[in-house]
Amino acid sequence: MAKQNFEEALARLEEITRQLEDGELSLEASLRIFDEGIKLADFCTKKLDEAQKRVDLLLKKNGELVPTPFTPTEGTGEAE
Amino acid sequence: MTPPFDDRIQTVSELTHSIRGLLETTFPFVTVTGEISNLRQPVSGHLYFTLKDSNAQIKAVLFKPQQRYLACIPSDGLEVLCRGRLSVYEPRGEYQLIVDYLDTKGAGALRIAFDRLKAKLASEGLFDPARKKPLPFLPERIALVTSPQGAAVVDFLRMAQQRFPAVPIEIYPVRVQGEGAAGEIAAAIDEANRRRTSEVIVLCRGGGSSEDLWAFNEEVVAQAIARSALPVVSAVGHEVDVTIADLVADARAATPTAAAELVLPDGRNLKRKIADYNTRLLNAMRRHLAGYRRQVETSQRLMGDPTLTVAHFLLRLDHARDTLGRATLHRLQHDQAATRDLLARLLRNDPRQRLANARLLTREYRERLNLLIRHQLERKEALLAQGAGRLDAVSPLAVLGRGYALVRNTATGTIIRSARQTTVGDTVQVTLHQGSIDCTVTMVDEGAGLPGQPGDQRQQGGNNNVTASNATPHLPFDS
Repeated sequence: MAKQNFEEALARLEEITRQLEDGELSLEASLRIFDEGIKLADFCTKKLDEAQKRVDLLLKKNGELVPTPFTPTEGTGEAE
Repeated sequence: MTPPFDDRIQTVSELTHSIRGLLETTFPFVTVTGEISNLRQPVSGHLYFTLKDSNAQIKAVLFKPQQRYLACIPSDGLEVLCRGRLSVYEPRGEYQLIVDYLDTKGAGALRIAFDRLKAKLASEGLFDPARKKPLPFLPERIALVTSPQGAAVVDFLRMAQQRFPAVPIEIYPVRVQGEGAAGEIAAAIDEANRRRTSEVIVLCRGGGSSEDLWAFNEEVVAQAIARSALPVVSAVGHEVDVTIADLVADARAATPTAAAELVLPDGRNLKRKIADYNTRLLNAMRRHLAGYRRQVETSQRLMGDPTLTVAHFLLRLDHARDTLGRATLHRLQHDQAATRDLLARLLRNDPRQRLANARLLTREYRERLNLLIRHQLERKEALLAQGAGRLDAVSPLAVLGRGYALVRNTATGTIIRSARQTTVGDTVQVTLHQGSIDCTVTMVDEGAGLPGQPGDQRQQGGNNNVTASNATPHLPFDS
């Protein structure tokens, strides 16, 4: 599972669950998709559980945008 | 919207609650103009006032958090345009306008400019629903184009934290109002497209007056949104503030909070969903395995004890081997017999043997033939002997032995049976038993001869010159 799309993974997980519940599969096939399903569920859970999001402020330094950690401060106005 | 007639007895609370629901659903968004009066601000910080015109009035409240977005400071007597929703304050049974935003009346020039640009961009097809790009279900990263100081970014980040904390956010800091704001916003959109670190762009700004929001009504922003390859979500102002940016964007959120909800799926929901799939997968697999196990068990029962089966096969194998051995032996024996038979037949037909046989046969035949011939000869001899005896019996010699004589004419050899056959002087030969006599006829008596006396005959004979013939027979064969 290289760069996997969460939505695709979720959709595949749904599909696999339904297939397995239909029970029309051979033992080998069901074991195979079960394995895949568990992996997908792990992947999705990991994606959800990933550590605290990073919020970066892109600041211009020497013409380049440099990400710097951002902690919001509730200002009074909108601008500046 | 009239509620159905209901004769059920309700409590005041129940009724009031119903009225509140009714009002809130019927008037979720209203825009109303009027004059502010009775303005007061208790320690809570909320602003309470009455909005009135010459004929009616309505209670209104502006809660403290909303006041951040205000462009003007409300005061008694001020003619304002309020946007908000209707609700009921149940403890007092009072309905009131909950104001989201208010501004001074009369932003005429801006309105005209807005309408003109809107028409132009519409004709260029920038609002075409077909141009709208779908939002990613779960973006890898979010580009937030906003002012880093301000309530909007806080609101957005708070909701993002709630929905899906794992998604990183990068903030493109821009001024969101005043000179140059539109240019900065457009540049940030382009920059986010260039960097491509994010999968969606969110334009974010809290509520404000028409003038404050104006940057989002400028064409440069509209065009930047239109050419963005990344989907753009616009969350500018409040529900009621529709900007050009909102119209061009791929999706519009009423508030920064709503924008966060729009671009991020509900993580808790997803977690439940995934946990649910996980459970279902496990259950289904367990059912599967149980089913297969049952199948195997059933099959085993049907098959019987596998070890017995093996034994059974071994027995069958042994039996087969025996049968095969016997069959082979039998076959061998059969072949041997056949060979022997053929050999015998062959030997029987050996030409040497046949020759020997023939020789044997020949000898046998020869012996039989000799035997037969001897028998035949013996029989013939016997026959001859018998015949000779009989011949002897009738032999004249025998008669002669008894004293008779044979008389023949000497000259002719004719047997003389009658005296008349002779004349005197004829010579006759008288053959006797022993020898013969030649005599001359001296007298012929034609009278009766016999029975005379045998002495007569002897008288007449007297010839001693009788030729005695050797009468011994000679046999042709001599055994």
